Amino acid sequence: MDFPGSGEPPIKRRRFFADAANHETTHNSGDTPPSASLSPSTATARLPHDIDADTRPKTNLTGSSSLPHPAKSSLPQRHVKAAAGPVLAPPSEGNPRNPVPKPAAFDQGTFEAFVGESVKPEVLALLREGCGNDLERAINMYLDGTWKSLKRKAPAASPARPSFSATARLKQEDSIPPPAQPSALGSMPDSRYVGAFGVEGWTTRSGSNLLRHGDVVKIERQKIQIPKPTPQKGQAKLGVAQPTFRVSAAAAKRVDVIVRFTDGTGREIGRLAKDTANWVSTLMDQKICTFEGTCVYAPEKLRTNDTVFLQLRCSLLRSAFFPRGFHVADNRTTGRFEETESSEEKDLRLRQVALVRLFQEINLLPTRGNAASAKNQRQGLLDAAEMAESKEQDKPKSQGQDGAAASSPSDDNDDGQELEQDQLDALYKKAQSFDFSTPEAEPAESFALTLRPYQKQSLHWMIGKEKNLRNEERETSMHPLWEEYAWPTKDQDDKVLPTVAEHPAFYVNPYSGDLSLQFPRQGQHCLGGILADEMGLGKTIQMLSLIHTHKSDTAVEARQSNRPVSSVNQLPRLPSIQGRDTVTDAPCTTLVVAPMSLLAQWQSEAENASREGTLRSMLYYGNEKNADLLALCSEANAANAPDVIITSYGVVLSEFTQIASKSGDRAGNRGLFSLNFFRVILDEAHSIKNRQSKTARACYEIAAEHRWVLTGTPIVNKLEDLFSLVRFLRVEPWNNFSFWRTFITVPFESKDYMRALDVVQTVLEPLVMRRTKDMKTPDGEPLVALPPKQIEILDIELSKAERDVYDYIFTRAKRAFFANVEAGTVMKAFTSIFAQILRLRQSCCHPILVRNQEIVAEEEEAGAAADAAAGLADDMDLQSLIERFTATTDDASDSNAFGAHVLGQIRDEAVNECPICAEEPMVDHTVTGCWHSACKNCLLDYIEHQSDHHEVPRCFQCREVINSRDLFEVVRHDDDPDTANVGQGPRITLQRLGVGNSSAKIVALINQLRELRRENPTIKSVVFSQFTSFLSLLEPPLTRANMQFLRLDGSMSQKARAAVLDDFRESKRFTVLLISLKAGGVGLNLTSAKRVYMMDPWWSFAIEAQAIDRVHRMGQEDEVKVYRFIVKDSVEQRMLKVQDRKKFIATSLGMMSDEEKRIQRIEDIRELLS
Amino acid sequence: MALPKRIIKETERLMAEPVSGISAVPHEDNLRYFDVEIHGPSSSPYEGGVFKLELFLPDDYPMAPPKIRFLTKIFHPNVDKLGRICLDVLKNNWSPALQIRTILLSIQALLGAPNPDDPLAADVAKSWKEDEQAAIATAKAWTQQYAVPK
Repeated sequence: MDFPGSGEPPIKRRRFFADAANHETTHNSGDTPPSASLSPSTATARLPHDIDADTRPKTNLTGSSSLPHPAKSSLPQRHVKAAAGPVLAPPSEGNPRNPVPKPAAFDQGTFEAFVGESVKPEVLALLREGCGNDLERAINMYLDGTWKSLKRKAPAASPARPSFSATARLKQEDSIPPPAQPSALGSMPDSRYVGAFGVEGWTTRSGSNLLRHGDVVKIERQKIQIPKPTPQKGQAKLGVAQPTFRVSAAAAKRVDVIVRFTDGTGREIGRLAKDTANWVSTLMDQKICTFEGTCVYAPEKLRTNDTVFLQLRCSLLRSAFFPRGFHVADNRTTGRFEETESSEEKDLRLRQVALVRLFQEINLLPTRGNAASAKNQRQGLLDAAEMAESKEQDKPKSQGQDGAAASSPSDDNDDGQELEQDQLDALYKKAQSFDFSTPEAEPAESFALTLRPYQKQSLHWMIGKEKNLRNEERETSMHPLWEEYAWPTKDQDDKVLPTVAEHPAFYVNPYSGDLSLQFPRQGQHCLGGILADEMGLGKTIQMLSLIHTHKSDTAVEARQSNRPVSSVNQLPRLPSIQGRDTVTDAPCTTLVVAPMSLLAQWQSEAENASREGTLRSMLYYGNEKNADLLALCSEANAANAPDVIITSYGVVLSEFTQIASKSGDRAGNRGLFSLNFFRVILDEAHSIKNRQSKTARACYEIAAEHRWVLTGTPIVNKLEDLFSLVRFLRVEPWNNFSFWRTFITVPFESKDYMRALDVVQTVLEPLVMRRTKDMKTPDGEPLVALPPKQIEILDIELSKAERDVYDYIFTRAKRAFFANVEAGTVMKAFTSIFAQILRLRQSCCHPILVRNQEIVAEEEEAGAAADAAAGLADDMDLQSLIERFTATTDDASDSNAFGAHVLGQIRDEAVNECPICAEEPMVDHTVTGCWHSACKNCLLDYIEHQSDHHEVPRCFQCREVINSRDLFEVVRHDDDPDTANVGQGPRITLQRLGVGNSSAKIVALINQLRELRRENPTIKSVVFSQFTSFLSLLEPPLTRANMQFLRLDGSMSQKARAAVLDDFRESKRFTVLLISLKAGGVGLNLTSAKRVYMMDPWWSFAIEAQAIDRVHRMGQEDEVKVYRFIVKDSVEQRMLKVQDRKKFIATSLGMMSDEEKRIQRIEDIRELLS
Repeated sequence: MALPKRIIKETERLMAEPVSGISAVPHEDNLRYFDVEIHGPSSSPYEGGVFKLELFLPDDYPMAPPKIRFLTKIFHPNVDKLGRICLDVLKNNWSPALQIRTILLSIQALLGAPNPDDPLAADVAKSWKEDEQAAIATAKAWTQQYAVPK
């Protein structure tokens, strides 16, 4: 109900309060009723509109609003006699009076009569100016002291929600002009009945026959002369509706919510019960409704404080439908969010609460709204408002620490809770209800690949989004936050009410308290969206088809001279969103921002997808970064500009930082930020899920006409993840964080999940295209038929030496943990406990990792660096254990020192049965120093058996003393294609036991790989581990086994990574790719591999699954087998259990500051160590 | 506990390729327990005798040797009154590479070549050393009395 002072004519015409001499006559025309023109401060006496003449007295009802008794007679002009009936008034009723009040003009005599004292001229002048010549307003200002602040700086004190005073006009100048007033307002009557409800009131006078059943009473808002001292809590909360608060905060506390009812002569009879008055006052003050009371029951003889029952008829005022000019907080550039509730927001909240209460009371249900049941919704809304209230009270405390800096990390904390899996599922459900009948679009001819049907559909959708074409369906969809209410057709007495032809219904936004007569269409101004197809459905290809198919006019023209262009490309150019003073248009160029590891892939896919010479792509990274993008991409160079520039998040960030340090000189840098691209695409966009991160902020600043994000997981685990994407996309109004907070975060935090998720769904729906792999076409065909995938867990048994190391660390960790639990210092010791768990996990892979310096870095990543190094130094016991272990591994292999004869003999023996266990052939054929053969385990068992009996181990054949270091495993290279066919029989070598078998896991892996190579000598596999140092330990055994391997980890440069990926893809022989889970978890396309080996489990299987999907994704032609190496009876096995319960949310690793998550994690650790 | 592959294989082979003069049959209810019969070697005092023994494979077989004992009374310096046998391969010189078959052959050989220098039955060894002929005669007599099937 914001009254734009600068509004269009219809409003202005009604602003007639200035002519004081004219009070009576202005009422006479029904078609331009002055209903809305009361100043807010005096709106307390909104008169019930004259709809049903029976229920109201024939004479003047209007008694002015806030006037104390003595003044009453001094305002005769306010007694309206016979205003013309409003449109609504039933003609049959004959003599309608429309006592719509209007403001009294400012006049000194009257004023002084009101305030009961004489006022200094300068004060008067000030008041006159401040009140916009509105007497009531002036009186209020005088009484509540707000005029004093006027004195100091009237313009600056502009209220947050001005109505139509002088200050309002000032305010309007610097705020966004309000949206055009809906024409529908024109045909809206002054007020319209919406419903009636019963209330309790209590009397303030005594006497008999004051009030009888059926008596009509006026409902008035009145300011008392001396504002009550701070009222009770409830009033403090809801009573701030008085406009007075707008100027002075102190005054805000003195407001009242008293609603009186008076008899026909204006005598006060009583007041409404406070509970009702709380919100009724707001509705009246904010000029949303008028009320008209009928006495239902009153004792014959009234005494003060008797309870009476009234029925209130409520009519919505026309003024309620005036746009309030919601002004979008301009937080785009500042990144600073309002922490405290502004008076504007408070006002809004009151209004919202009042409306919800009203609809509750009159039991008016929406005829159309969103899915959640209206009742819950209302309750939720009230709760949310209450929560805001309490938050506000808490604020001062927390603010002290946080300061105002928006970038303070603690901001992250109140960023909302994590989503449970089922909530996420529910969220996606709507976005995923993909309609297979949507139209398809054919890609441009220059696009070289064939799209699948679902990809053509998304191409159609994307082109539509970019051109801002709405499809029919969306046209009719209501704005998610609004609800539709039908105007009642009968009143409370079942009398038929007049209808207004064009307005069968009105619309309410219960979230903002806005009312509208016009259908609130779901707005959609973002010329882009979120392509959230699951991994492997070809997001990259779809985007490339869009790049080919939708180009700007400039681009088309520039290229037309060279070659014909298909007609699809003749598209109108859309105006730029971004200001042009600092950025230059790059009408031909699409900017792709991707994680570093994907840059090469983007480039090669871009080439593959394009017919030769139709697409210029350019890598903007490292050395190539020196290019002058500004000149290269500008419109002048359109003919030669690159179509696609591919860059990394890192580059975006570093250029952003540079510009920021040069105080925002975009053009000077001549880089990414100097251009307004035709389109920007963020790949793996969950990289910017944290809106506070520098990278995210840098990305927000990229200028482009069309903005797209690609991600398989638009919400990783918090609703705020989505906010960041929406912010990047610049979707109004959701990119405003306070808006987001009000409608999503707050409801969610107050456990009103249904509503929060509902809203998110409606935000998502028009923005997101998401298909999943398991979707089926209507014919029951899978979208993408992927070959099957098998996951197998391989149990690993640790060797004795490894087990000793493991047990040692385990006992220590357990002791430390429970000691801390007992001492209650778990939270303090969190890092060290976590470090110990990490060491435990590492010792499952290879004991030497525990000592390895390289892991320190990894521990840091896990937030656990603290005492790892120091803690180990005094570990003499462990040291010796590990030395014992490494003693068996350090020796170089001297396997080739034996004569061919011996080797031949040994080779022949291998097919024999083991003399000890009778296995045939021997398992892990091993020979003693005296060349006698047995299974490895039989031999080791026997040696152990003898040692246990305090005997010197001797050979089982010749009884020579055996040196346990002189055991050699026989390695048959029958799996090795390089040597298999040379000479007679496969080559064998001897390997000293322990060397190359340095840990149980490595042995298991090598054995798996050998077996694989025997079966399929050219197959390729991928080995994932989260410890890069473990990958290093895998290399020597692979070399010994003569297996070609490649390696990809985070320490490599982009070029090196690309080279590795190329090599792997091109390799025609048996190849193993070693990847660190972190470097290779996302994005990579490794479909040329058929086997996946997961060397160690991660806290959440989702991360592992993502890694597996690098191989098992679109383009994979064969069955994929996955082997997960899990050490038996170890922390790893228990981690699997934790994974199963999905409790452990891995991504929270980056948010160690959050106490709650820690507590949860402590519980998990307790389980791991139990 | 499941029977190790090795024991199964040994048993099968003892059945399939029996050694002359030796038989070993496992109990049906306990496959680790064997009834053994060894024929006294020819041109030895035990010729003509069929000696019954019991053989038990302990849990840690073949890491540990089988337990074996004469059930038939025998006059032999390396076998005591209870039938226990003094044989190095059943003790220190046991090796998992040895088997039931080889052990029984060793025992058969021990019958052919008593070793009174490493006695288990001190009195028998003494008589053997003092008057070998008399001792052999006693052995023959015992064989006739206890070991020859009637």
